[in-house]
Amino acid sequence: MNGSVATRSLDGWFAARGWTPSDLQRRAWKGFAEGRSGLIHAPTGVGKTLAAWGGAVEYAPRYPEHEGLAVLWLTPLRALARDTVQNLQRPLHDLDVPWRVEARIGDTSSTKKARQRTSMPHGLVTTPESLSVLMSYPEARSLLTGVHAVVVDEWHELIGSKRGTQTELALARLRRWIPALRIWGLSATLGNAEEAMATLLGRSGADPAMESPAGPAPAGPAMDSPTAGALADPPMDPPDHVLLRGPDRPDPEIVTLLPERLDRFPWHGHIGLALLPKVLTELEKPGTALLFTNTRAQSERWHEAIVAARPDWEGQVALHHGSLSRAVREAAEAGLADGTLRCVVATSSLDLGIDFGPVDRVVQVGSPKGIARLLQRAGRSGHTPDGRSKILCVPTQAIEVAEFAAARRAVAERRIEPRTPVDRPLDVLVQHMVTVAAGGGFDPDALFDEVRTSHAYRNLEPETWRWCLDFVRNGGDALRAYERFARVRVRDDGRWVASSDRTVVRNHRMSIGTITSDGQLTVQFLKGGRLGTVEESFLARLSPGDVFTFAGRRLRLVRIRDMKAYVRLAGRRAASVVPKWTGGRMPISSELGEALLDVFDRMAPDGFDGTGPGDTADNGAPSPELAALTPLLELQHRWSALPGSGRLLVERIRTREGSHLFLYPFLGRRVHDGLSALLAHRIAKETPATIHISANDYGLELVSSAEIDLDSDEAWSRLLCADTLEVDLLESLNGAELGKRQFREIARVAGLVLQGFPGRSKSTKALQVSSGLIYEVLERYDPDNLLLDQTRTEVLRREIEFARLREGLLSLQRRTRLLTSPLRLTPLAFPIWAERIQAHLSTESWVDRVRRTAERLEAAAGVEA
Amino acid sequence: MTAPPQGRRALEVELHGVRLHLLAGRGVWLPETRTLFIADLHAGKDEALRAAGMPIPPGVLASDLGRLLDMVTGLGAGRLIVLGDFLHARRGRTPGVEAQLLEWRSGLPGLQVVVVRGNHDRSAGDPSPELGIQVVPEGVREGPLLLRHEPPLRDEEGAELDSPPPLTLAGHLHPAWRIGPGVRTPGFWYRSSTLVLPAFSEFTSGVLVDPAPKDRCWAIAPPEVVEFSPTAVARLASRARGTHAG
Repeated sequence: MNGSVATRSLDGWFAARGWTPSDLQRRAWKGFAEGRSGLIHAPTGVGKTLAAWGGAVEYAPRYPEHEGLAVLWLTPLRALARDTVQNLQRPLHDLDVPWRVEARIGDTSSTKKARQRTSMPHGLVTTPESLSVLMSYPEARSLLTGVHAVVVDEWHELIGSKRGTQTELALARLRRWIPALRIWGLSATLGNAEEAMATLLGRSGADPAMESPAGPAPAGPAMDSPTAGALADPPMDPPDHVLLRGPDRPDPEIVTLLPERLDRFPWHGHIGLALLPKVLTELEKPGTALLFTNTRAQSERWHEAIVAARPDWEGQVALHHGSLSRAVREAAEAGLADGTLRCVVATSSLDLGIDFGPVDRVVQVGSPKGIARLLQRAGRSGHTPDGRSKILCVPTQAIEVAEFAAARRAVAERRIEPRTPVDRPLDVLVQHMVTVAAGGGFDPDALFDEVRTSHAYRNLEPETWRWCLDFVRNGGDALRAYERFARVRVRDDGRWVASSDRTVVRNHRMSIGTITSDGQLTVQFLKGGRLGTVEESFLARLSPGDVFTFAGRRLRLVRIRDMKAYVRLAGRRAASVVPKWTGGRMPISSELGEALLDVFDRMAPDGFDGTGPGDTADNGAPSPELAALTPLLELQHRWSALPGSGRLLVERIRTREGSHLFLYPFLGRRVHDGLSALLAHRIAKETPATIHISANDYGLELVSSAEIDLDSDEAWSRLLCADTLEVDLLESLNGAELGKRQFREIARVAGLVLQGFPGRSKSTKALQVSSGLIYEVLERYDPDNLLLDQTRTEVLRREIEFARLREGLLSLQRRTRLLTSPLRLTPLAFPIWAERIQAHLSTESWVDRVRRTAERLEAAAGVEA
Repeated sequence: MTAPPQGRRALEVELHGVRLHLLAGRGVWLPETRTLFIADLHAGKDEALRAAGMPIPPGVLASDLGRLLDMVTGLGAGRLIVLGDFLHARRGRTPGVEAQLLEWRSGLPGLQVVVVRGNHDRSAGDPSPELGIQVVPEGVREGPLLLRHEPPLRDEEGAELDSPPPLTLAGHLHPAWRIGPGVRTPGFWYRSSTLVLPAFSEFTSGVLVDPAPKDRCWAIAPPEVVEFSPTAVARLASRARGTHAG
């Protein structure tokens, strides 16, 4: 058959290296040979790059006749582009393919970019933003029509974000221009591979018929053979889409570092650095190690502690997080690659597929937060397809020990989190419309049909589309066009093209690349050395003279000016704060929460009758985590009850503070935050009272000086009612303030604010305006603006995780309520309580009070036992 | 404290022997000479942004000029002095903006209007002669006062200056305070003989100021003007900090 003949040269190339193509690679090449598109869904280290690149090159129009761009390679990270170019270039020579592969990313020089526009390389490695910018040039179509394959690398990183939507729109454009286009995505393990593929591939532009507004097309069954590749649902075209699943790697070995003794009354961070000596022992072993933390602040703290404990490791321990300058991060990556570093302390900045070989050991500090995340981090060790990777887990709070056991079970059962694509974001759509207008112009009906071939906009209503047309043309609705505003104009022949004002188009191109950037301040020494960037919101909370830890150093803030924070080194002894970056507190995933409840199910109700904990490790013995946690859980069981998957544990406890209500839904911190605000709001509506709230990943607390009466089923169903949820939530959570924050990104993407001007001149300075101000102006002078609706939707979706919260509320209604009235704070209640009182106390007096309370409770527990 | 003039909510203060009323409507009233001071009108700012392709809805200037008209007539002011940035940018001076300014001006024929040239005015150009507005450079004297646009608070290097009397009125900075988590409000800020006014236009962002212990701070908490001690400002900022940390 056709495919086997054509793969001969690839086989030869592999043979020359003593390699054999994997089954996955052969199937991918076959897919390319047959002109199909698809998704390669497999863990790191199984040769996804060669699977896609081999096929793309092999089945390109025969070289060297082919002139111009043949393969587009999209990557989410600029930092990956250079490595990718090298990796793609390498096999070409041996395959006798005289191709040029180049990168085109934000910091590619303008001369090089201009040269590319006259003479495109055969392979172009670029980001979604840079591809959009390319599409905004009038000659875009002629530059891109020669493309026969697009490969989207690390699709799992893009799918859940607006950058993913931007990619979908660009692909819809390319599919229309190039009917035979092959699109291939590469993705790490996701819980929703079918949806990820449907999102990437969209449908061909042939059928403009309306889809039923009932909702997204359900994803088809898992499929491995190309013939089964057609999606079952008719509205999504049945093109030849292939979902290729890689070989399953063996489960990683998850080992938990257990302290000598686990406190029965834990609190957030109470283990802290107590396990540092054991971690140091691990790091003493030869080879390189990666130590992952969950927050940038935590990485700074661990880095500082390791260096302080082992001054002899000076220069062998590096730090890597998203706020550090590129030079600092690249030095750490290089040190990992060449093995000169002993340890890199990193955050999720290293979760992305930055290309370095496997390290010798991986350490995870704190909750894994999610199954996919733990798998990916573990996968950094032992990269060979059949090697078993290993991860050493370090708890920072006692109950996290159970999380590690839960994660191990969930991994074994392949309960991996999905990543949900963004639905119809209008800011990205209006940005794309201006891009297309600049890149040759459009006919509104044709562009509507094209946009609707993407998964994100498959249900875009004609009415919304008309609003978007008005927005890019008039600013507001057609009836009251904004005077002097024109980003897109309609030519006499009916074609919509970009404003003839060149600065408008230039400003637009500048704004395309800003989806990811937030208000960031550069941290630099007075004398000029740059250290990295910190969110504006963090530095806004510091005053000149304050000391903070950043990039592994203690710095004193001198002043902030022109988006730069000037610092000087502070003495070692100066007390410092570690920046709390936004997004630092990622909640645990639903999957991990459920797995935790399953673990508790196995413990209860007869787990303490002498037979020992029911949860077992691989070999059938009780898992070490649960064995270590037994005293805590036994006490929880004795004083109250254990939570579980079928029941909602509710504890009512009276203290001097008042009446506390603790609920343990295990839905993650963000949902609990929203839920506690909602419940407090609803209770206060019925009985006026001041209610204080608190939440962690496991549960939430409501405390009031008045008794909260929740004895009847009726009171509960009113409290957990899912009607009026949206309104109640926005009311209870200061929706306006959250809205303003969320609007920042929308304003940037939709081009309502200008950003990212290199060396802002005076004239552009006069155009600087904050998105918060625009939000106020829109609310007042254009309240029907659909971007305000989008803001509300995004607040619900992102800030509150509305869908998960609603789902959670419904599941709470279904669960059996188990109401207990313990005499004292229970082991599960204690950390939530401790977190709440933290807000009112200085660090020292907080630690003091929490410790004393824990000792008192421990004494009470001991006397009983 | 005296009754607010003409029913305008205000707070009377004495600085360097000069009695002033700080108005909740974002201005300063000097009763002796019946003079109203404002700063940073930024007329035509939304026009300038629209001309650059940013879809900002119209309506801000009409609202600002309406407030200014009410304030001038309510106080019975004889003079209005704008402490710089009367206009925002040259591109913002559209026929529509000029017409709105002219209409506003013709509603106040008896009013003498003076503009102290600010940094935006220097690039936007002086107001049209038809408006009958006198334009003066920074640093002119006005009775006991010195009028500026940019407050003389720092030297070129960014070091603090300690300026001697007379009392200086200035704008430019758009000072604002954080009075609670996520709540900021424009205000007046006094440091070393200089009183910095809040920006008059509602289409301006306040800039958070970090006051020193010897400074004085007033927040506009409509309908009142409230004085805060600098330590209270710091405390409120840190309380907001605590909330953010969560």
